[in-house]
Amino acid sequence: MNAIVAPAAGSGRREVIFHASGVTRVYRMGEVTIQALRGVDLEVYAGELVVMLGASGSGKSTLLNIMGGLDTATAGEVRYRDQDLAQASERVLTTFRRDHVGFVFQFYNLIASLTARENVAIVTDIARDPMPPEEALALVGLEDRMDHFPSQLSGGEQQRVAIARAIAKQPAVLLCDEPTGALDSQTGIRVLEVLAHINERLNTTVAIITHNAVIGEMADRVIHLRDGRVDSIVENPQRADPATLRW
Amino acid sequence: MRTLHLKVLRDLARLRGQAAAIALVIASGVLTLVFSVMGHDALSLTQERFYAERHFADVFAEVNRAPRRIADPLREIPGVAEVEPRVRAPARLELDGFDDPIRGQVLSLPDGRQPALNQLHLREGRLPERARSDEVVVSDGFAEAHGLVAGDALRLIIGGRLVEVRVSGIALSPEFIYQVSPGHLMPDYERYAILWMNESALAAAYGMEGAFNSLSVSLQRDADREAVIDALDAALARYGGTGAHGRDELFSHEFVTLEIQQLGMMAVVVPAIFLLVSAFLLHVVMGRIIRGQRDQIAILKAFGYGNLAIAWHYVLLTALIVLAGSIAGIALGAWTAFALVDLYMEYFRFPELSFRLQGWLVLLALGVAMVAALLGTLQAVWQAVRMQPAEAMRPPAPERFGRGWLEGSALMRGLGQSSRIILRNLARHRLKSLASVIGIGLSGGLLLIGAYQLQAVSHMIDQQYRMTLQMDVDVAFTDPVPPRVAGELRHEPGVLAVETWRSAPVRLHAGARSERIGLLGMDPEPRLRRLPSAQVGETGLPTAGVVLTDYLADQLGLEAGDALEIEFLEGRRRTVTTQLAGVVDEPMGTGAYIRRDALHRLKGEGPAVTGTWLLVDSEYEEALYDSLFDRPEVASVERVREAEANVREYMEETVLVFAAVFVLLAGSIAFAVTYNNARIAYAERERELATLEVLGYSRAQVSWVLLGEIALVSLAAIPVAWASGTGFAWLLNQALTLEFVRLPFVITPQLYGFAALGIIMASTLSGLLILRRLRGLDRVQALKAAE
Amino acid sequence: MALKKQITAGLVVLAGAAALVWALSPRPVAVEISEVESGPFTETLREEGRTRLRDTWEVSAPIAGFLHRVHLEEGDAVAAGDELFRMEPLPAPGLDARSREQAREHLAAARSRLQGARASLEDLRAEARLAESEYRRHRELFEDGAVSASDLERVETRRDRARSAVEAGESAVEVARSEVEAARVILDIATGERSEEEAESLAVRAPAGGVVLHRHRCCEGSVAAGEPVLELGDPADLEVQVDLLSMDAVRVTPDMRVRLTDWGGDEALEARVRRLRPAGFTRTSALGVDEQRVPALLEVDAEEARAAGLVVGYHVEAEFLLWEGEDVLQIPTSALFREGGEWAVFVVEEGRAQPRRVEVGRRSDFTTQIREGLEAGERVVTRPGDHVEPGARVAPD
Repeated sequence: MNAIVAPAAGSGRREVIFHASGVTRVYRMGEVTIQALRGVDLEVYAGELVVMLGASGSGKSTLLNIMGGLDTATAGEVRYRDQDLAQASERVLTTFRRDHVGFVFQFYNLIASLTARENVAIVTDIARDPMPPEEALALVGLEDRMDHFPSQLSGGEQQRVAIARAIAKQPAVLLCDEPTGALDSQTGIRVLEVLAHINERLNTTVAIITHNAVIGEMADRVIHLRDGRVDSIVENPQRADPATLRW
Repeated sequence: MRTLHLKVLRDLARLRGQAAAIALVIASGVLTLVFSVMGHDALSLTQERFYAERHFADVFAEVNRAPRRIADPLREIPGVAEVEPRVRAPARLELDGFDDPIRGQVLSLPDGRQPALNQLHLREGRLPERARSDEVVVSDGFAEAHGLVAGDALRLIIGGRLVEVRVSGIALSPEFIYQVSPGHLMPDYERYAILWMNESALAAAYGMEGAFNSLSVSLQRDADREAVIDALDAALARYGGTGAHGRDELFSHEFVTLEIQQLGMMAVVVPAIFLLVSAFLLHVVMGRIIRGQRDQIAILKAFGYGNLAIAWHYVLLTALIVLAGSIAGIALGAWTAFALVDLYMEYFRFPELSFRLQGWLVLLALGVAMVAALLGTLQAVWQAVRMQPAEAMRPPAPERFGRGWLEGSALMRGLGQSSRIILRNLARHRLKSLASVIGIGLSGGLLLIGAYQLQAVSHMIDQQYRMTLQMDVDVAFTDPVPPRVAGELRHEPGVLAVETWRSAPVRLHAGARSERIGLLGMDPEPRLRRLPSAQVGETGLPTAGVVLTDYLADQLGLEAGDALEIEFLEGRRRTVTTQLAGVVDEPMGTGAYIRRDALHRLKGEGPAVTGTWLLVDSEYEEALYDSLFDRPEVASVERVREAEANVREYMEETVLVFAAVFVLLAGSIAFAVTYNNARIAYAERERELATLEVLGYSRAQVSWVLLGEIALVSLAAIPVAWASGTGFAWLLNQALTLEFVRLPFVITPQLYGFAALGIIMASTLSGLLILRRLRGLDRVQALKAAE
Repeated sequence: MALKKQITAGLVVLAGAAALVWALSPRPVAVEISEVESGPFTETLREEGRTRLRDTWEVSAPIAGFLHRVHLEEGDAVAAGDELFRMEPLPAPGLDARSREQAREHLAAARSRLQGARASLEDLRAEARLAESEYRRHRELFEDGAVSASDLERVETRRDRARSAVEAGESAVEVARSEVEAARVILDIATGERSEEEAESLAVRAPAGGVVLHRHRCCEGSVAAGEPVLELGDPADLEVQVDLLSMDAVRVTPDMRVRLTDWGGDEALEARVRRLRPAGFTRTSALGVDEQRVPALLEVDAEEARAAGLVVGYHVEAEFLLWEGEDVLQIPTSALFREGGEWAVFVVEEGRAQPRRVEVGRRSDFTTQIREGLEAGERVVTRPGDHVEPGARVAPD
């Protein structure tokens, strides 16, 4: 039974923050040619928390990367608000990422030679309108671990630093690729709580990729991906509280 | 950007071992650059200034005897600024308390004042007083060797007459910066002096009243030197002019200029070698660092850092290392340079020698090091920039792995599992392994070249003083004497054997080229002075024609069989044509050799002898010298053993010191490079090693996997060290070919053994240190590292 | 399996280590090595010399007078008695009684001088015969061992001296004879038996056959009495004079073989010591000090000399063969060095240089005879210098 935490975002007129149509992505890995995406049509609305669900190889990471401007599409159209991303230049994508997107990855990818605070600061240094690193870390509950190095933090703490890093620049969009993949369920839940919290507090659009269906329960919509295509999109009438999730 | 810079510093701190190694190599290169340039500048500037301040003449001419009155009209020759006639006389000196004969030359001064050209720089005392005929100024080298001061007494024998004189002053002259007696290579301050005396006194003693035999000429700024020389020759021919010449035929000037050139050469070649190695090392290290930080770069890009910012921060990393190395190099280079001053002052008599570290040199050193470093890191940084963030965050594709030739070989079958792992690792990362091998090989090559220098110098001196020069004593006469002097000397106490020679100053002409040299006429089969050459061989000197040192033959562009002209510069002045009969390979000096009877024929004179070589019974040495010194015609008696000691001392103080420093540097570099490689290998294999331990391999076997790889790479590097070392040695040999000394290109097994030993020792030390680290390996942590 | 691998690995490592040690081990000192040989040995003495004619005659004007043009030139051959040149006595100073008397007395004096010279000559000849027989006697006694070599030499010297004296005496007679002629001419002039118009020229004749070597006067003009006009000599009568240092001269004996080189041709000429002048002379040496020199006269085969084209005044290099031996043990002189005041060499035994005392004998510049201490076939270091220590490993260069 899902506890009602918050009503789903109203189904009135919603601003489209991401628009993708007919997106294909082909790449070579070693000697193999891989068709990661075979024509994806998708829209993500501003302020929603969306979960992209799919097995490994379904193309979900690729889609996320393209949405975040980390990768370009082989064919098709991708737009962030009015900005075309599909055929944009390197410089345009860099600016886009800097100003609008925050990333959280499965393996945290913290810079080992910097403390938690510095890991956040390295992003805020180039941000347009950041919040102080301390504030971002406070948001994720790590005020008293700010000066520790990643090697001195647990997995969960490291992931939270990664989240703090991502939100410190107050991006419009937060893209998370398997954020709980390397964590135990309890720590994972805590991380998801933070993500939900940010989505509500800062109204940041959050997209989470996972293969764990249970996590889908906390989203506004769940987008199912299979074999490089959108299989189905399910709207959740209600968003579950992450604390109630069990896997 | 602040935090990005912080990252650079933190990264640098983590890399400190490797960074230190690279900085060391850079420091070595910069060090050599700095002190060579400082030395070069100091010498050339001081030389220039000394020449200018003391009005060093541009053109010199010697005549037999010319009346004074013809000197003034020579000023009218177009291009001539000033003309200074003077008297030059050879002399023997006698000094109380010193038994050996002292050779010298006496030059005249206009009574009581400085000459217009080739002025003296008085270190102490004053010029001779106008009216005095018994006062002289002596060269400072000589004065220092004997502790002479103004007021001391000397006896001079000029033109057979004894003149008692007193030292009025001690001076230096731009004409005699390198004070060597004619025919010698090393200064012998005790036995050679230059003196200056009032003209009236010298002319009287030498029978040159109202005449002169030496002329100095200074030129106007845009004068045509050759035209002036031709005009002088024409005017002086009838007075026995031997041909006017420029500064380049003065030994002192030539020697100093060559030293300056050599420093210039060294400033380019040696730093180039070091910086090449450092660029290579940086390439390898930065490449690995950047590859290892793929994910970090991806994240930075993901978060919006542009290519420029990322490239810049890696360049900064390189720059900091280079800066550290350069500063150390500049400081050490300057310190070395200052330490060299004393050495140079001993051989080059300048009034003062100051080495200065110029601002532009600092910039040059930094610039050069930076450029070298950047060239090395360029590729790696370019790769960082080019990386697609998405790609970077994908796990790297598994290494291409198939059954290569190595797999099926007997070698693999014969080895244990751990050994197979080592070989597979190396074979998989072919490029990385190759890079390591080359890196270590290059540093081993540096070791070899250091040792080569030491050995080549020693070999050269051995060759000269053991094989070539077989006499005990070399006696030179003041004037040519009849050949019956041989009999006279045979009866001297202790003389076992006598061989006579006749030396004549000549100018060799081959087409447009010419060289001034002393032609040495010897017995047909000289026993006391060998000519090392297959061409000269058992039959002794050829019946006709001359034999030249290979260096001289090259300078003249001659090959065996070619014709050349000999112009005799004393006695009856004539020019004859003869043939180059053969070439000898001598590392020291330049020589022209001929049979004595052939020389007499060419010269058109009767038999004469200007010197002899003696084999001496050591029991009677002292008695022999006493007897020889009593003879007025004996100008100098040189003990070959002493000459060898002098040369060895000079070589030890110069080349050997440099070579020793080189070896030290190369050794540290070899260690630094092997340690570097070991560290990188360890870092990259940490996970694998931990995995192996988890799988059940013993600590020893795991150690073997790591150390085995290091050992194999080092062993493979040994032939590379041999090859690169030989190449470096050849480069150095080409760069340091001098007129007076040419290092023989001799590579012996000892050098190869030395290089191999160096690499083995460096690897062993590195291996031990890595082993220590391995002991502290935390398996769990290692395994948890980024997958 | 593991053991075998370990052993193989161990062997490989050992081999590598051995190679390294070999490469790094100090190389044997590179030296020149010579073999002790037993063979011909010549002790020689070299000195420079020059060719000269054994005898020359200086022909001078017998009286003061007027010389006619001398037609002979240098190189012309003359036979004994040929007219060399003509001269006229100076115009007569006058027919006064005093000069006549003087001239008569002059003639008488010349005659008696001639007689005296003849008598002297006889004495000298007798002396020479005596010296000759004494020498012959001593020679026999010497061969019997009854007298010493030095005595023999002394006697020989006397004989030689006597011979010289005879020659001198013969010349003196000649001179006296010419003087008589000259005096007679003067008298004839003074007594008016010869006058300017009738003045006959005096023919001066060659005392012996030969070739004109020098012509001191060619053109006509007045000459003083005794002024040399021509020098005659027999070019075939060539000999070589070598001025030996006195300490060398004592080692040279007559009949010693001498080789002549450096005279301009390719072959060496053979010569023998004819004799040494008994008295030496002092002169300044090449190096400027006084030295005593003794002339040695060498006889050259006339045919050979002519074939070689040797002429007077040529410089030659004479090599006196002081001593020759056949089977003489010898080594290069530079192999010797002093050790504790004694001579020693380094013998190469099993690749190492071992010092050994030796006793030396004769020396000829670059080769020295070894009397004791070495055997033929042994090898010595030619020039050890300072670099070879006893027991050090050495190898040929």
